[in-house]
Amino acid sequence: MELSAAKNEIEEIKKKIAENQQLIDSLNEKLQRRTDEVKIIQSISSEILNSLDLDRIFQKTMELLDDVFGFNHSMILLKVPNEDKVKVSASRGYETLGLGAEVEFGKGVIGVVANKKKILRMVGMPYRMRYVQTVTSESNYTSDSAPIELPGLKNVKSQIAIPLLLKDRLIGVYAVESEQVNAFKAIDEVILTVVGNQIASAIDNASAYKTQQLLTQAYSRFVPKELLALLQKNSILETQLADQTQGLYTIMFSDIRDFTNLSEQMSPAENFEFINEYLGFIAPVIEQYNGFIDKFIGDAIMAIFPGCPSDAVQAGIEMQERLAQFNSQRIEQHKEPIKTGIGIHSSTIMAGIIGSKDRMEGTVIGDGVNLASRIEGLTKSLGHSLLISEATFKLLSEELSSKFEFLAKVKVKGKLEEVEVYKTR
Amino acid sequence: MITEELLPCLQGIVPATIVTTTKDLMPNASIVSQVFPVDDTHVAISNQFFSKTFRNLQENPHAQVQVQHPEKFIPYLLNLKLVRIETSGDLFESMEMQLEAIASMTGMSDVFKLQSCYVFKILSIEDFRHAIEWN
Repeated sequence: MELSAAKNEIEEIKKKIAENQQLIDSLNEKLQRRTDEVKIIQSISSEILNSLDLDRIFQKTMELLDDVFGFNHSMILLKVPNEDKVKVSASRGYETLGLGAEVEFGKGVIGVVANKKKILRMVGMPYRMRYVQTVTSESNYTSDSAPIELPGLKNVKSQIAIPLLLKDRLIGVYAVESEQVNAFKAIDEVILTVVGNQIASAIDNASAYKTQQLLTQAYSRFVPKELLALLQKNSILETQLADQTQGLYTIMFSDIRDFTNLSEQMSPAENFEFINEYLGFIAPVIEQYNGFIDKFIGDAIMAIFPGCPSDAVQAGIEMQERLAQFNSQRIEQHKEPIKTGIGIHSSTIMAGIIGSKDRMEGTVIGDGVNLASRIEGLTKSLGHSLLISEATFKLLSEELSSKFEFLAKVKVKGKLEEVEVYKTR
Repeated sequence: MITEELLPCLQGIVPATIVTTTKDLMPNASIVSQVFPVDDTHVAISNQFFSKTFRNLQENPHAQVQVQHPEKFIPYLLNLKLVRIETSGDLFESMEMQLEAIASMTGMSDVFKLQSCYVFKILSIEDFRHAIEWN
């Protein structure tokens, strides 16, 4: 009697212990879940801070959720501009990436989420579909539309999709799916919503950065980045009127002889085409020798070489070689060859931003600029296509200066003293 | 009260059976695809077609629903009373989204539309786990 009572008591205690253990296990499980969630949020945040590469951020995010929560089939779809569709932009856990596959708004879990801009979690999907099919087949309802093809698992049984929103604007959908019937719980919605917000802000960051880059690139075609570098500016946004710097630069002027005659034989459109073709052929040489084009003046190029004057002179020599190639092409096309003149001078000049507050230009100014232009003008009267000033000649390396010889001492317009010019031997 | 144990039964994995009666207490049993959890003490079912179940509920607001745990197969019997019918709002929209997703996948978007959702107060829950004790 007593023995069985004691036995019962032991059974009771055993049961209590088991129950307590269950409670502890469930609390531990919840704690682990929270820890995992924090870990994921932190990892994704730092990934976003460290990278602007969206593909990388997408892959890393999906990989983390796979590793920690076993969400092993996921995809990120981005809104197609001006259309009610989203398009697969990244995926993980499929035999084929399925990139580019589209989902119309309102179709399937992803389409409905895109349309309503709200999270949707579905489990037991095949059973629900069967229910709909059964109900509709037993009633007189018929539908003309065929079942639709959606990207993702063919035998999907559970799915969660989260809208990626910026303010109220839909930019995409993040979807996780599974072949298991009851793969996602209400608790999964919390972490996926947070991750969805992180992805959305990453997309926003990347696109803002891209726009800025494009703008900077576009500006650099108008204001050379080398000029900004001389002014010690990182971006055109930092420049202002009267920003300036002074230094010893070599200036090169180059233009086409008798361009007026040549252009009279062409239509305006042909003129443009010709000039762009010519400049496209010649201009890259300048960059190759560490110079940059300050401006195009019709058929003329004004270029600055902030470094060594030899760079400018070597560029001048190579530009002449390029011109010979350009001319042989023209001859093949039964067009007249062209002649150019190049004048080079080195001087201390100012580089800076000039203009008015609404219309500015980065350029170099100074007496030396005018002289370089005058020297280029002399190429015609002196009958030599490449002329350099004495100042430049004296700064050349021995090897390069040996290729040049004194040509003449000339009086130029606007200069009291005569200038010595040198030609190639 | 909806417990954590009961939640998996309200995911629409196993269809539920709902029993309603006419005002003369003539019973009718029907299958519903999902009993949605609303809050701790309320559930909802969707009405796509004005079937006998919904006609009965106009006459007698009491209903009994049997749901089943999708993994443990434990049946639960919920004694319910209809408290309101919603045709808009958060609950309606979230039920509508689920229906739309499934209907569009089966090509039935145009016929399967949520008309309204019926919200019930849970009066009591009976646990029928003893019914599968043999297992």
